[in-house]
Amino acid sequence: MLDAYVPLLAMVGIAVFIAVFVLSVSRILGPQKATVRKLAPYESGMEPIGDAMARFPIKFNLVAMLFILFDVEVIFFFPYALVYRQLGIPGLIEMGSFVLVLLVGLTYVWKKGALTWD
Amino acid sequence: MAQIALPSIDYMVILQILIIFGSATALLLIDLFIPANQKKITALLALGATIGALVAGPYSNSGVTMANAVAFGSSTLIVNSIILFATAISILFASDAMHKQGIERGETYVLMLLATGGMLLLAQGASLITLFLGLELLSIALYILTAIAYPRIASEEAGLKYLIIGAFGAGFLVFGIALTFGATGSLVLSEIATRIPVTGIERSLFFTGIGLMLVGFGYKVSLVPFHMWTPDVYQGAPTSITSFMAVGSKVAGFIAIIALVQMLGAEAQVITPVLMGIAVLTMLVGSIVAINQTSLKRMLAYSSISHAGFVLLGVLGSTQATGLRAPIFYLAAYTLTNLAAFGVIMVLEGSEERDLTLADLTGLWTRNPWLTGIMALALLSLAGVPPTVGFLGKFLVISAVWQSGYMWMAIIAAFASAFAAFFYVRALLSMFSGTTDRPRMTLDARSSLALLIVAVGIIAVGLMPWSINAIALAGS
Repeated sequence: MLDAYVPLLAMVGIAVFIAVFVLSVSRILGPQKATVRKLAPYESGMEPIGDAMARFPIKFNLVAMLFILFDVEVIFFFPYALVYRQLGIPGLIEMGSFVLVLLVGLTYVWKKGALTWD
Repeated sequence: MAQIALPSIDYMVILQILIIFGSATALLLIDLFIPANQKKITALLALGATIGALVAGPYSNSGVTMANAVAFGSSTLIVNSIILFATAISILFASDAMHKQGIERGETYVLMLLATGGMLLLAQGASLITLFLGLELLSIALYILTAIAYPRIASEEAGLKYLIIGAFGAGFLVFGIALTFGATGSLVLSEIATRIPVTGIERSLFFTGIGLMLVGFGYKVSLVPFHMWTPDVYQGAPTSITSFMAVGSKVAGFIAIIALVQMLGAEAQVITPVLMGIAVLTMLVGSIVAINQTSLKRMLAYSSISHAGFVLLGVLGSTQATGLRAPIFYLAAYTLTNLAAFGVIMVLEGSEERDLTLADLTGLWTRNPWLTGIMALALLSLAGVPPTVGFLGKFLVISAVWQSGYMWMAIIAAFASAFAAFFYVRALLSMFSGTTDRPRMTLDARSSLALLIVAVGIIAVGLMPWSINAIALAGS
């Protein structure tokens, strides 16, 4: 039974090897010239403007939560779009009830005022 | 293009689950349009849904459906009825107490229904994924319910503690499921039962997986040494939620443990010594630590830990020919008794949010004789004194354990039960002695009805032996 997992182990081994190999080769062969900009935290090309531990409004938390909700919906929709025809009417009903449940959630947060910023 | 064959679904097998989840979803929408001071309408609708699901039980089909993921049978019917009964009583309690204390929210009832759905899923689960899904649904709803008394710091603290410990337990469960799947290549309980590895590293992986899963469920039903969260969470949560949590999650968690032990069949003897040790430790720690408690809710929390040990002992005693009647009857007895005990505490709290201590029981007899009677009944049943239902539960467990050849375990269980009787009797005596200047508590119709039902249940089920036979027939 466990023999089935040998390829998986081999893949883990190869992945670890590549990661260690690439990083150490670049460390050994690459030039090491530290500048102020290179040592600064990477902020997608922007200048860092302060401590990352600053307080920020709790509203962003809510936005992140709502984002997850619809992100998960999309994760289900991509594979469904691929097998849409093969699943036929039963699939349509299943996806319909899934969206309906999400819609109930959306109505709830809307009515509770979670979508208004102020 | 070829059609993909979807697994066929027999909706009559999952009828009760469908009713609960359907009405929970609808209720979330309906509740938005119910004004804040009329939340008893939401409670009434939730109660209707619960009773509807309870009535639908006998009309459900027996069998397995949804690609072997969900099952329904005669013992499931009993367990589902216990869970739905506990939910109905808890909704009545919550509707009264939370309104009095000014913390009533419509979401409470929606979340209670969702937690109930999770419990039903756990009871009907026939695959490891369904068991995990049920446990998570139940737990997440309970985390929120624990913290729902929003401005209260104690309630929020309890919710956070429960969340962190619960997430920890769920991690153990998932890892156990992964190892079991790795060793057997199946997630369906009936398939795993036929593929238990007999030798080699697969066997050790398999039993490691089973052990981790038992740890995961052990957190949920608060077996020692996974019990640390129980007193804090029971004390911090609103009392009506505590009663729901203490009863429902314990019943559902134990059904999952029973499913695992049954799946192992004859191989269960590998883990029996460990579980025996845990059961004895749970009974003793629960009974001994409870002696030192002054807070009533903490005392009942430790008492529930001690009862968890008894149920586990019953599960182990009934892997042999005796059937499942001992643990299932014990869970039913535990449900009735704890609902009564927490219900009385909830009524005594009234509109205050203070944590009641033993001293608050002093002289209760002089101000509320009826409440005193119900509390006395509950305490006697917890201690296992005839003619209450608690006595029959303890009797069945100890005799099942004795018959399956673990004489020493039966003797230790009897001793633990005697230890436990000490603090129940102490609470009992303080109710009938002394006087008090505190005002008489008035009962709302909802609480009175709920308390009356459970009190009659404690006596009636305890007095009528046919009720055991009914459950034994269904459970074997």
